[in-house]
Amino acid sequence: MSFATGFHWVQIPYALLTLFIVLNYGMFMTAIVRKIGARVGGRYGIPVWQNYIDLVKNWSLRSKIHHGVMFYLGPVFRLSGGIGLIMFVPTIYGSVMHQNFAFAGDLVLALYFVFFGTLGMALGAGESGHPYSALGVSRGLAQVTAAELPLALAVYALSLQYQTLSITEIVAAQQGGFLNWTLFTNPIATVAALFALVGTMMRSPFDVVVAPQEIPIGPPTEYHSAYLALMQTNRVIFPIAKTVVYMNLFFGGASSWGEFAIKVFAIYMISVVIGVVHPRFRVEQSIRFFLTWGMPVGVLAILVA
Amino acid sequence: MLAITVLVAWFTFRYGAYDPLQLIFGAIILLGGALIFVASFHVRGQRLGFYPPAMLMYAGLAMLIEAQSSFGFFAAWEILTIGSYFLILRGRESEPHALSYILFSLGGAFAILAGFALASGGVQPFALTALGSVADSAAPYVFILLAAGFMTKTASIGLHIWLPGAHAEAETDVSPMVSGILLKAGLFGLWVLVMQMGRVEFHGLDLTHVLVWIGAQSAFLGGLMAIFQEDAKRLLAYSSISQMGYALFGLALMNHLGWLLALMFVINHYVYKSMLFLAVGGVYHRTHTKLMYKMGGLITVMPFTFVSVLIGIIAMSGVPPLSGFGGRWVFYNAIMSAELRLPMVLIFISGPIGFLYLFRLIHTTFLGQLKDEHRALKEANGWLLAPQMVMVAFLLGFALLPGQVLRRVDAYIGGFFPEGQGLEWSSTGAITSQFGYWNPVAIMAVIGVIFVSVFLILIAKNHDAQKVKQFNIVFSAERPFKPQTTHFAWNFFAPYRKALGFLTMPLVTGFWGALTDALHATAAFTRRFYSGDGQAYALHVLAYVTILYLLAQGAMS
Repeated sequence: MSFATGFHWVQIPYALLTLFIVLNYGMFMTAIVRKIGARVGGRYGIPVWQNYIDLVKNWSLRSKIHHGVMFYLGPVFRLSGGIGLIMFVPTIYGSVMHQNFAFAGDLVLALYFVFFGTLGMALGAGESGHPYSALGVSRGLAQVTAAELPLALAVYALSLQYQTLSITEIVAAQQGGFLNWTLFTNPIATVAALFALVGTMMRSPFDVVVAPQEIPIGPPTEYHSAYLALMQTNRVIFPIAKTVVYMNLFFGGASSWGEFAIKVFAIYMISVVIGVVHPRFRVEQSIRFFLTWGMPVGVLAILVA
Repeated sequence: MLAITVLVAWFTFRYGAYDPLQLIFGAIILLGGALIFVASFHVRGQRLGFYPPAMLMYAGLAMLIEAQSSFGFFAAWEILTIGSYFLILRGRESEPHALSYILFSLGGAFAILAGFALASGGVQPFALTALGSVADSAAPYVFILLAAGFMTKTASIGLHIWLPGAHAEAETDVSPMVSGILLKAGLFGLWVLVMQMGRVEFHGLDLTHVLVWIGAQSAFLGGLMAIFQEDAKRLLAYSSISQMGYALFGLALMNHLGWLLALMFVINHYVYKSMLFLAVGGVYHRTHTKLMYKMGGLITVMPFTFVSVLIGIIAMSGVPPLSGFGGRWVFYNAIMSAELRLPMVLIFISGPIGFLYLFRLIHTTFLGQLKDEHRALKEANGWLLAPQMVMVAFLLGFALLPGQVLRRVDAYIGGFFPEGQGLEWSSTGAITSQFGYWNPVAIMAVIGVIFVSVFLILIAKNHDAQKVKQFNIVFSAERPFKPQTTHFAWNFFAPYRKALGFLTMPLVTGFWGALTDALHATAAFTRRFYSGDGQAYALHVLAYVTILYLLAQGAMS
């Protein structure tokens, strides 16, 4: 079985190019999504370049403090997690330039690397000693265990279907018309995975972890200045990185940046559409939700696979 | 010192004679045991009755992996049980737990004895390799008895209730011995069992499938119970149940990668569990508590212990780039050719659950708010730290070059299964299976470069950040001043308890408790015969001799 070959130095500038495109795309996309959310709520919303403004503002703050080594490293872990996830997954199918470092590992690597940033962030936030940070981490971890379960089952069903764990090969198997997408060849697994997509995008009804706006809760509580700038950078690229995984696994991947832009936006909008019209779950409610609705679909997916 | 020399010497002496599987177990038992003995130097003065039982246990373990016949195996099993019992008994409050340990072990030993007796049909000596040729009618019973016996040691769910207390109350350097090393004896037994007997059907039910389910349930419920513990050592003990569940699961999958998975868990579990037990023990010696919510913020006073716990939990949770990820990768490849699919549901959810209790362990002890009474604490004892640092180094090395250890075993296991199911190890570090690929060196390099780059960017900007005092946090309208009320630690995963806590009801404990009560009632009944009257006893002895004589006569004729 032939997999992507080894390493060449030219891959580094190529990977940086991928990162640059994803970063800017993410900056605009998340702003547009926020604007859509605002319009649904009857507000005008932010300008589409607001993310850049925030980034520059946080980056240039002059007062900055730290609580210790792990606190300092937390955002580094977080951003490395986001960038790494992009780097370990091929972004554009069939493009030599945007295979990134996918030769280092397969689907399993992508699934587990998601936790790298989470863990580092949680540790950093923990050292700040702020109880709200720890509270947010506790909620986030508790929720994600249940939310990721349907995805794990869907991925298992999928890898049985294609008999491979290589993302490139899974995408290759879906080429030749949209009816070859996993969405149509294995709709049950796709639905199961979408439970996880909605559950881990930190949007309502599953956003009690960071509880935006009304209470300053969650891991970022104590972070400011360049720390927050790093985390904001991650916040625009990480959802894209995760969506790319979903796109590759269930929606046929993308063979050009145009296709990439449309598909990522459309997939991301699933969680947005659900989010803007639903109130928030408490953590134990979302755990029960995933176990009573998400898990059975996933179980069905692995049984029929 | 002598003990260490003996263990290492015995290992170097026997090194050549082991097959790769024995070699891995042997290395863990002997070299690993020697490493843990280094930690024993932290106790000053004499320790009466520590080294003899410890060496007895190791002797038993060393005999176990070399045993050829059922008698040798059983004798080794008994020796290690006795040794470990006295070791566990040394803990300050471990008496009831040691009792329940020895009860379960004895029960297990009887099951094993009965299993061997049934298998051999009275013929001695009975070679272990002859297990494969047991008559079909007896085979399932032999399998069940032996498996049940071995599973008392691996503390599979249902037979697990002795473990948390026994491991948690044992002494600091005993916990890693009984957790990191002793549990592997049961696994080794199971390994011999499935290796020799293969699949055995009992009324149409494949018994290895039952083992898969037991393994998956142990992995899930052990993890779930671990996240609700307030006691750090109990948390680790429950996590052992979960980890051994994984190993049992891998073993019972009965395919090439499943066995490799079990073996990776054997190695990894020894390293990180010993490391974490030593670390937590070191903390206990300083803070005099094992309750996590009574600690907090210890990172500043015990940085080395923190590093060892950090590496331990990253490795254990399976996050790349450390060695736990290798285990997960092999796991995914192993289940691709598994026959059962439903148990995966439990395994999939127990992965993230492991994440929960591990984060809790590190957060509530080392992060958060430092307590006033802990401000003057010192770093843990150097003798406790030394083996931990060796293990950290090993974990990093094993993460980078797993092939150095696993290659030969992989080839060895390949002898039991059809060709082409194993892994391909390339010289550049890439590892390829039938389904996927993985390159630990590349992963480590990519993550390292990204991490360092981002870190340098942050330093360039925030190198002049001001270090602030403990309570300098953004807190609306009030200024916190008591660590106890600011440290979020007790009942850390409250929502989880609300959603899934019902699964941790002590049903099994209740079952064994009821059984014990029934036994007591029976004992009270038989007490009427054992009345304490000398004449009655004399009558018993006479009756015994007579019956024995009659039986012997019958057997001879």
